[in-house]
Amino acid sequence: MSEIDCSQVLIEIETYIDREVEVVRYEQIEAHLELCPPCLQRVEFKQQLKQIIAAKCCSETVPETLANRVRALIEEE
Amino acid sequence: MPPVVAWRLVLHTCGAMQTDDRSLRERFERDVVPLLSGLYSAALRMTRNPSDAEDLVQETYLRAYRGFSSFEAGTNLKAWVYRILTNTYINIYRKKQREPQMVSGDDIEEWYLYDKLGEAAVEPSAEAEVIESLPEEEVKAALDSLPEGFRMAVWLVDVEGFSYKEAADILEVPIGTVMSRLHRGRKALEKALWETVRERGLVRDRL
Repeated sequence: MSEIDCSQVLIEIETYIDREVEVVRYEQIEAHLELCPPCLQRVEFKQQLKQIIAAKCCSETVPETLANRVRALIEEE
Repeated sequence: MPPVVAWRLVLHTCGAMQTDDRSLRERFERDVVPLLSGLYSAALRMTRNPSDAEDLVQETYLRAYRGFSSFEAGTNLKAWVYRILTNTYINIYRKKQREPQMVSGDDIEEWYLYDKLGEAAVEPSAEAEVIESLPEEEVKAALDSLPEGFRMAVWLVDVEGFSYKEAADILEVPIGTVMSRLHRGRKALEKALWETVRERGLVRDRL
């Protein structure tokens, strides 16, 4: 038996995805998701969105000038 | 004390200090220098300008290096450095860039992007793929379009993987503020991404 309903899961979806809910709550949500495909679909969408944003925004190439400037300041200090 | 002994003492003390400095510098090079790529990306999202981002990162490294001896070993080094980055940004750059007051983001529905993609007849299983197909530059531009407070909360938690508590410490705001900015920031980002998807003609628009 699932201990929480869809509306509660959807309210807590972000804290669940960010792993900021307590263990007991986390397990309750997991249990609900196993039995509820519509909620699972929404959770997966938010999870994938978070991963896509992270993957697409983190890969800046550091300009060589900056890497050199950082090295130089450590040398000089 | 004969002069010779005193001189030896001085030499000895200098030697010890040099060793400390060297080990400090080695630790800095080992632990802080590798954060460069992440810090530069964060600085770019903050300043939205490569030249300012470089200056910001350089200043951050200078402050971090000077303050490194006061860093408490065993605490979160990455969060410590990001806090210096954020403070440096606030001190130097926020004064320069007058931004309009933060929009609330409250007028955007909870499931904005999910629902819009659904309305455009994208299969639920393929919804994330539409976003995945966007070029990196477009996703970065969508993030850059958010007001600063939202942008930083989303950046720290979603991209850098900091916890709410760490993000709150870095930004020096309560955890509740981080959660609120994150929530509204994500909604604003969904809206910006949807506009990009529509502009690029990646979905059929039923409006």
